[in-house]
Amino acid sequence: MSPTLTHESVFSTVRDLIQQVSVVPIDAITESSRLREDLALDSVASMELLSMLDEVLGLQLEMEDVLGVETVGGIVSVALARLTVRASA
Amino acid sequence: MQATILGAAGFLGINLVDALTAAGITPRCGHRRRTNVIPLRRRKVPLVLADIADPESLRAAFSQADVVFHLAGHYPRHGRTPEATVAQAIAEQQTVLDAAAAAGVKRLIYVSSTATVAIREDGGPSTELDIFATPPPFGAYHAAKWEMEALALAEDRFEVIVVCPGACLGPWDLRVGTSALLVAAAHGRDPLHPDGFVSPVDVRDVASACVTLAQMEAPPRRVLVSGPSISIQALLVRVTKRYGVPAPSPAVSDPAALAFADAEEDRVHGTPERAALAREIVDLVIHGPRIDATLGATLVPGGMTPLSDTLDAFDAFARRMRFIP
Repeated sequence: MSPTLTHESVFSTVRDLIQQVSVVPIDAITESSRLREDLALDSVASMELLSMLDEVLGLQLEMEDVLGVETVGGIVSVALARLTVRASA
Repeated sequence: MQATILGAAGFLGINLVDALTAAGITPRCGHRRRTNVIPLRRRKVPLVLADIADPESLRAAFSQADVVFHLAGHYPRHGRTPEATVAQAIAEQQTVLDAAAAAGVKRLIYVSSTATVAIREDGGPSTELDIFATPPPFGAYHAAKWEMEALALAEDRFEVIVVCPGACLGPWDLRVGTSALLVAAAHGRDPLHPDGFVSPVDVRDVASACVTLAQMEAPPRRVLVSGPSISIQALLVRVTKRYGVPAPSPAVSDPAALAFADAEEDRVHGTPERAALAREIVDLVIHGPRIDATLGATLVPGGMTPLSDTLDAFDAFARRMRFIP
C-alpha cells in the first residue's frame, strides 16, 4: 500500500467524493453512514460514487467487490483491501 | 472501422463493447460525466466523455467515427410529468443528431424500443412495417420513445438505422431494469403484474445484430430484434419453476396495475427507493404487441439465443452480483 494512503486518507477521499453525489453536509458523513438511508444515495448514485473512487485511487475494482457495500466504512474497507492486493501483487 | 458508442456504460452498451471487440473492432466508449464505468475500465477500452448535456463532448466523441451507436435515448425515470419528459427526450435526441451531423458521422445506429411498434389490426404479429402513426397515448415512456424514433427516421444528413429490441435480458443489467420482475419472482416475492405480451431477447443478440448492421452495405432502415413473444404470466411461471418458489398469482387488471404503478411512483418520489412496479413496464406489457422478428434474426450470426440459455446467462450474472440467492 502507498504510505500516503492510510485509512484516514482514504476515508477523507471517500467523504470528498460523496459531496459530489449527496446533499448531506460533509461533517455529517461518518464511517457508519449508510449510503441509502443516511446519504440518500440510490443504487445508481452509489455505483457512480464507487466508479469515481476507482478512478481517483486507481483501485481496479470489480463489480462483485462493490455491489454489497452499504456504508461509508464499507467503501473504505473495499478500497483499502484493493490497495493492499495491488501493493502485494 | 472507427466506432463510437454513446451510452457504453449501460446494459446494452457493455454487451456491445464485448460484441465489437469480439469482431475485431475497438470502440470508443462514450459515457456521461457521472456514471459507473468500472465494467468498461476492466475491459481496457478507450473511454471518452460523451454527455448529452455537453454537446461539444458529443462532437469530439463522434469525430472520425464511421459509425455511432446511439444507446442513450432518454429513459424516463417516472411518468409523473409526461409533457416535460417528452420535451426533454426530443431535445436530447436533436442534440445527438446535430452532433453526429457536425462530426461528419456516416452511419448512426439508434437503439429505440418495441414501444414504438403498433399492434396489427388483423391480429397478426407485428413487423418492421408496423409503427404508430402518431405518438401512442399510453404514457410518458411510449410517447418519448415514439418522438425520438420519429426524429431519427426523419434525419437526412446521414444514414440512420433504427433497432427496436424487445425486453433485453442477460448479463450486465446492473440496474436491474427489465429484469426487475424476474428478480422479484426469483426471490418468491410474487410481483404484482398486468396481463399482456412481452418479447424477451438476449441482450447479446441485440449487440450482435448492431455489429452486423454496422458492417452491412445496405442495411434495413428499421429492424425489430426479439425472441418469441410470450405472456408475462407464462414468463413468470417459468422463472418461479426455475427457482423453486411458489407460482405467481394471476395477473391483475390493467387499471389496477396502472394505479399500483402510479402509487408506487408517488411513494418513492424524492427517495432512493425504487418503485416495486415501474409505470413503463406496465405500459409495455399492457400494450405489448406480438413480434415477428424474422428480419432481426438474420442479423445474429449463429441464430437467436433460446430463452432458456438467456435465463441461464442472467442467472449466472445475477448470482455473481448477488441480486438473487
